[in-house]
Amino acid sequence: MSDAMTPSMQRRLFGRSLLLQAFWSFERMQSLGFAFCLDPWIARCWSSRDDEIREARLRHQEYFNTQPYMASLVIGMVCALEEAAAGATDADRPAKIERLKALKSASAAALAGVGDAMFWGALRPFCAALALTCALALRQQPGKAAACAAGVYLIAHNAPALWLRWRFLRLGYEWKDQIAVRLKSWPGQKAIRALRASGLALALVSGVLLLGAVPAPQRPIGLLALVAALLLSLARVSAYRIYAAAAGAGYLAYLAGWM
Amino acid sequence: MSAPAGWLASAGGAALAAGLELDAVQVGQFMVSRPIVVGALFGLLFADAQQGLILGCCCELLSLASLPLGASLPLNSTIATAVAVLMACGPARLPPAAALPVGFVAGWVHQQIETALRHGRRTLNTAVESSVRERGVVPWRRMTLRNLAQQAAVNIVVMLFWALAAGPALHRLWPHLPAGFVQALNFAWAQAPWMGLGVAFYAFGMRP
Repeated sequence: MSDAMTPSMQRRLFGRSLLLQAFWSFERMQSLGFAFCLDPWIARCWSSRDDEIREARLRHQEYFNTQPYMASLVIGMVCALEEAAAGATDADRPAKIERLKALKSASAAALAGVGDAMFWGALRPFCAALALTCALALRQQPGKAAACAAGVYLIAHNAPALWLRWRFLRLGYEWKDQIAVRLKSWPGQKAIRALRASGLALALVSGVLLLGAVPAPQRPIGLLALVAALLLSLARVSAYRIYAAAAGAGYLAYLAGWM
Repeated sequence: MSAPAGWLASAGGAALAAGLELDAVQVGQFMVSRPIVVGALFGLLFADAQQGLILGCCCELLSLASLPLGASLPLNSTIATAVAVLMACGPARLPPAAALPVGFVAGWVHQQIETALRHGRRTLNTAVESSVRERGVVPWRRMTLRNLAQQAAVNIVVMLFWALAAGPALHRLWPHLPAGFVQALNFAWAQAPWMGLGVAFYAFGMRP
């Protein structure tokens, strides 16, 4: 197969993939964003075949949802499968298109799970813990602490995330329908475990730094609040309700004359 | 900063927050919309880096377990943080104990509006399908700009309401609130970093 994923085409697809969620709706979620990303490729693959272009544009209006960073893999894969369908004989084409639709739907669902665990469940909390540690370590110089916390967060998150989003476009295109098989050898689970363990360690360091930052009489009640918030989170109570409950507890303490 | 200049700065901050909010879902997800970044940035802009950073860190930690999975739409933590910092560091000069819950309310209000916007976007699918059937092409550039402009306009209206209408009103109201209410808010604020850490510990063990 000729390598139609030229650097300029990859840049176009990548630029458009940043707007994947620009049209997010409850009905079909990222479907319009996906169609928007793929549009230059569709025009290139099916050039001068107006009816097929129309059909290709319409088939990507269907429901689509995945983790936005992992969508690059699906976009790359769909590019390869669209190219194969465009190059197939009239007899083979319907089967290839059906396979494309099935693979797109299945990989989107599978990759959403991996991406949510990796980026939302591990990388984002890790970056937050890292930035918090920086902020607490530099708390005597608020200006530096603010700049450092924001900078560290953005670099720690975007360096791997942007690189992976760019790389996934190419990998999806090369792996085609082998994405599931290839991802088995991908060290994603190890990375998730490492990020969670490092993030937890950083959160513990932040806790120690916070203990040093507050006056001694406030520490026991602070630790009690930490344990209560952890237990309530385990019971699936939202953080905002926990905050409201703390205000309620404060009011009761006021009524009881403890404050 | 003089009072009119302060309110002008608030309006500028509201416009900046409206732009940053687009990053949360619609454009890029570069994380410039995360509370810790917004809090630090707004703190620096309003010459109170410490207060901005503390509010940003608290909002960040408290929002760590709210994940944007599938159709779930969490409270808007970008708007919550921006409003909280504007209330605390802007001309309203609310104490952070009051600014943070006001921010949460603003985030919740935005969540409701965003829900309506997302329901409304279903008509875009029909419009795109008709466009492909009739003309074979989709006016993507116009649609994208219109859609992003709509979201930014909603963000600006919400932010301006909190910065220019609710801010001055709360500034006048705050000294007249009952002592018990103020004590309750102060107590919750004092525990906010600890509760945030508790939520962070939970987030590290959570399976999305």
